[in-house]
Amino acid sequence: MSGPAFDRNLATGIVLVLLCTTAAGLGSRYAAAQAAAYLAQQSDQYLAAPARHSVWNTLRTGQVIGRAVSAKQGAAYLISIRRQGGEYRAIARSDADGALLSLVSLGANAGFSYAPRLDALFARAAGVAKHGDDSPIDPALKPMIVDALETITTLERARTESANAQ
Amino acid sequence: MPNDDRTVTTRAWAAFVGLTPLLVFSNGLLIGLVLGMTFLVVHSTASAVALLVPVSFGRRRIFVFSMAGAMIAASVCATLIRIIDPLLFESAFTRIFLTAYTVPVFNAAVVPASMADRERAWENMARGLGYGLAIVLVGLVRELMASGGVTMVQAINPSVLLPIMAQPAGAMVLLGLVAAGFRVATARSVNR
Repeated sequence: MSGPAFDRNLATGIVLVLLCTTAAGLGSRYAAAQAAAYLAQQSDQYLAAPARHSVWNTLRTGQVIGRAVSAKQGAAYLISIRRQGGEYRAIARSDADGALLSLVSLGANAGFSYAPRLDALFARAAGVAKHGDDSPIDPALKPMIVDALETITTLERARTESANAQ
Repeated sequence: MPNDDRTVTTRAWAAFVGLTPLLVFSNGLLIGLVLGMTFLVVHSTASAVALLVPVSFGRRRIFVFSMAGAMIAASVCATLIRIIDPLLFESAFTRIFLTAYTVPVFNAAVVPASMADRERAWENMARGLGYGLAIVLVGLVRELMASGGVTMVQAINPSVLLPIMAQPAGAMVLLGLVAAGFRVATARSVNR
């Protein structure tokens, strides 16, 4: 009694697929490293002086894409608020307790009507808003701001706790 | 015997409906270009692998190999986009990988039944190019209608004209208008 015949073509095909998958994985890893360097540089550039020389960590937790950590100036978080029709991005600098220190808006997609209100609400959260700047759509947008800020607080506290433990 | 024209039209519409997730996601020129290019590469890879793999593998295995090729192609496109613009990648990566799971890609991954169909398989490439262009065009038109202009960069205070066009509902409105226009054009050509 003999088993199923060895199909050389099929084995070659499977090996080729595995090789291509490995190459794609390595390429993806290289791209992730390049992207991390770029995003750290962009964060430092937007937060301006003093020079930060940050290290980037991709997090993708809630509305936080990642953080740029500087040894001397703490962490800055890249936030992406997504709603139907567009995306609003900002970089938020926080203290060791996760409280918002300052925020730099990176802008939003063309045609994204919520962008000005998100900008105003984040400015209010950072303590630099104008008085009487309210809109009827603010109550619908506020939960996203609160969620983003709470995520930053949680992430920053976890980071500082682990840094202190080491 | 079924009417050939009707079969072709129905199949074209079925493929178009299969593309709807991508058309809904394509709400700007930049994201349209990303999705269109990725779709073209993924679709072409799926149809090329379906033709290159020996027929002795059987239809099921050929389909599996084609889909594996399509997913690797999507991954390579995502890698390139991540290197070119990491922020664009962060906002688009879930949609990039969706391109491999659309009906036209599944259709392209199926090995042609007869030898005559295999000889006409190059048409798959043209089809992929057409679908890719449709995705880019939908993105362009939606951004134009939503903001009154077309831009490749993000703005602090983006211009807004008809915001519903940037939302999924806007894609449905646009597709409805295109379908209505297509129907009118078809009815006119039949009446002649």
